[in-house]
Amino acid sequence: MRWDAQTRAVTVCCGLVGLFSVYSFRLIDLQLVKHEEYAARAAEKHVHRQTIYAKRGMVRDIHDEVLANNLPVETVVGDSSLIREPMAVAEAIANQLEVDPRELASKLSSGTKYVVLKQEVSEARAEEIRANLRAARLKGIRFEPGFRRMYPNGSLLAQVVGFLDHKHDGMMGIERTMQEFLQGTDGFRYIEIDRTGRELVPYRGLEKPAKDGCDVTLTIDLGLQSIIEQELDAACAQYRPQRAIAIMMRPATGEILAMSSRPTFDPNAPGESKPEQQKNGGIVDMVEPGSTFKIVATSAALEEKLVTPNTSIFCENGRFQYAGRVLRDAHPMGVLTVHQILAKSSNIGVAKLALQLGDDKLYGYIRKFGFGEKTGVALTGEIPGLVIPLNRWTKLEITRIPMGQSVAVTPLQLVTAMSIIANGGKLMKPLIVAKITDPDGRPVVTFAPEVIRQVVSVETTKKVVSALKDVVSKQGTAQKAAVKGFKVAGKTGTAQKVDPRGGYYQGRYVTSFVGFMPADDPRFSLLVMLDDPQTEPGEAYGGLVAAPIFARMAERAANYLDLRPTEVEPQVAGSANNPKKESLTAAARD
Amino acid sequence: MNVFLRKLIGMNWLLTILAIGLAVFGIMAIYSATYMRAEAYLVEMWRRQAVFLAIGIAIYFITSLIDYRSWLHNIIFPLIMYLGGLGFLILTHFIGRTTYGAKSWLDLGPISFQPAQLAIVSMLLLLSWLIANTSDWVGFWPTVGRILSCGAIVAPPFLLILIQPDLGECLVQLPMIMALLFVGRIPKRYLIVMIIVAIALVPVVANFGLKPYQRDRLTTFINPDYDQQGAAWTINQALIAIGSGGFYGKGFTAPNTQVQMGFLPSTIVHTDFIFSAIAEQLGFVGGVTLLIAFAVLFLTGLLIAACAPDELGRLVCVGLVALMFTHVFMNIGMNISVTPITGVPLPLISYGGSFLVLIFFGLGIVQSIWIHRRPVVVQS
Repeated sequence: MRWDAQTRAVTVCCGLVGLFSVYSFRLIDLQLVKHEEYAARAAEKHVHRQTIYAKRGMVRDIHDEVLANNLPVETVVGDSSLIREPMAVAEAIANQLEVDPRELASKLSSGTKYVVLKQEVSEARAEEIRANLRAARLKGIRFEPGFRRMYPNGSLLAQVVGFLDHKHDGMMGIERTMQEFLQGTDGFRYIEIDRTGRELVPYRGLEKPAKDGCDVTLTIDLGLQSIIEQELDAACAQYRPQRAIAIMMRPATGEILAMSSRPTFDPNAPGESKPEQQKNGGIVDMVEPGSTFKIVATSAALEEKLVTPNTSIFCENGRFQYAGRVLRDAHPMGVLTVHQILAKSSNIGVAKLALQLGDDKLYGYIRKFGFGEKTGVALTGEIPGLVIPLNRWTKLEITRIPMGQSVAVTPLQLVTAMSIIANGGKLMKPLIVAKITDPDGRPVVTFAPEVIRQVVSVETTKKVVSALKDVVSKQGTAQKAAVKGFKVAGKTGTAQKVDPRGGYYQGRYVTSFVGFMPADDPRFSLLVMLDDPQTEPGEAYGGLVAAPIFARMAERAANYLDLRPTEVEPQVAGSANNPKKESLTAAARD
Repeated sequence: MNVFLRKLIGMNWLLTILAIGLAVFGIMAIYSATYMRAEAYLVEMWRRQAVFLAIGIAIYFITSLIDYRSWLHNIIFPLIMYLGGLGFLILTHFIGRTTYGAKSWLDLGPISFQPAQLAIVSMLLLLSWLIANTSDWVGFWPTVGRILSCGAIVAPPFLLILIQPDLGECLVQLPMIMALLFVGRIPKRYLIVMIIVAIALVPVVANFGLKPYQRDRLTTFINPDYDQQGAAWTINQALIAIGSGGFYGKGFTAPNTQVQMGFLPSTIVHTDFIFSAIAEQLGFVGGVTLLIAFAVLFLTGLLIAACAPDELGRLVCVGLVALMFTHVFMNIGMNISVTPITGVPLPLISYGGSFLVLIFFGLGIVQSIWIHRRPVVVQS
């Protein structure tokens, strides 16, 4: 065959058409046969489900002071499918993230599209990282907005407010009990990202907005809380107790105005504290109350009309033999009125009142005062305390329990019981949360004061209050609890410290004072309790240790609340030489 | 005037319409690949391309209406162009701008262009002149002499481009040179020997003569799944873009395309990877239509070559068609992963003003050959 021009032209044309046909077949292969596969790869490249974090509700005090709020932070996320040089990226960001670059590099070369590199990076820090990445022209790092829980007041009220775990769930306190209201519901949106990992805002897909959490308002008054905590700190510095607890309550409503215990912690860094520091001593610790508990048996005997305040009881001159054991008073006393039994805190006297009541009635009143069961306050870790069931009582219980031995209570139960005397006989459920409002400020739940029961009559409480006023007098055990310009009613307590291994520690006491003020129109009841204060020998008494702390707190609280003084003359003129020391409960062990 | 009018009416309108149509289509494609960018210079590209198209069309018509024989037959003109092209190449070697590892761009005031392209076209003209004027060298030694003379013309620009190094622009010349030798009646056995020698050299060059990135490109061409984040990134993204386009495509300037989101690097999508953008947005229909348009353009070019009044016209025509075909073949080939990645533009379509003008200049010569064929046909 001759290769003339025509043949050559045809050959070239055929070759050309043939080569282009190859391309056409390749296009058929890519765009028709494998279309599904490539379409899927194109889609997977950039559609991404992004969580829209709900804003956790704030916690505020009764005057809207912020106790817990949110600081916007960003979570740094790596998409290793977009990263060519993990080490380069890791080195560019490791400094700001304060993470080992090699660890980062291994995360970034894992092949997954979503690796959390670091949480809670501040917005300023995140901006620095973004600038670095831009400058180095690196991609594959994304930033997701989130929040970090902030407690602007630090350790103030820490045990009540609580803190969050790493998943932003409440771990303790209000954060835990109000979790469902505070947390809100996270939303999500499907977003598309471009090659550099930036979101393409115009192409947002399905979106479900986040429902922000509700705000919680506490009954706590931060002004009172600071007073309580400052005085607790001062007391701790002075006495170095194992624990110190103070609770202030509005007797008429049961609202907790302040609550704190030592040791404490900083909820902004909960990881740096021990569980011992985090627990709320007011509700999780069981203590033998000591003489403060005498208000129960005394009120009961008065309520049952077995005695009047003026009924005389013989106090056996300090030695009372009952059921084979000897019960002692610290200061031997002869005949005392019921009124004086409380004022002078006679163990023998209150035991005799209890004997008149009998086991059943005494037990009944203890339970009516709210002991032996949880108060139901909205805080974590509350325990019911321990009241020995009636069927396991021996003959001794009736002489021991009335003076606060062989019975275990929580400090909150004690201040709640004292509030019964202060408010005219009603057991109020302790309130810590005042109301819950949605993010727009509309109320969701409002917690109204709740009367659980009328425990004793108003008349009875008046008689008891009169005696408790005498406690804070020259004749009583707690002269140092007096506050200038006001009548204070209250009761001291000095309990031997229970040894967990059985029996009591020698020379170690739990000293307390529970009272209210002003005595005839109480605005607050207040408990101060120091566990094992370090004092000069023989001075670890409620009247010497806890009562002055009570007085300082009460005086400052009265100032803060702007209470009008009720007394023209100081309650106690001059200084008493020797305030009466209350009896040592140890006597019962003899 | 009458003569001009007659020439105008008698021109190959298919060639004109195809060339201008493809160029307009190219501007649209450039727009669709750059309109969403944040960088102003990228967004402006389609407008600049339109300006160059206007210049190109003007040059096309001027070249068409002037009888190519009046200037191409004289050695002076091709020689000046050839030496000018060489001069620019040498200049580039000293003051050129380096992009993608090759010193291949020359910035002269407001104009910047790749001298390699100008050099190749001018080399084509000179080579055609040489082959046309040595058609009577028959026999072994005269043929060897012819081939060596051709080599002497080809070698300087080829080597200068090779040291830039711009492998793509080197490779793109080879089919054109072979086509010229073939049409210039060099006996087939010489051509076959040359091809065999060239093929034998391939492994040697592949092992010793390639830069690491060039070897990477070869590796990823053979196995696109190799190092998806590294060397194979671009080719994989191109395949995803084309494959996800499907039969009808995602639509012109559709949102959410691989191109639009920058998965195909925004710096090259309007140049070397414009075909991916077209195939993603316009699908199989758009891609094949483009291929057919090119095929018809080339066949028209070859028809004109067949009708050329003289040897020189035929050679220039075939050479230009071969050059354009090689560009199209290599460019689309790398987009659909049939050939390795070599940075050659897609004629008439991809962004590049000087190349567009140059192509229209070449097509103008082809058109001129068509317009001025008749008298010779009548004579014969």
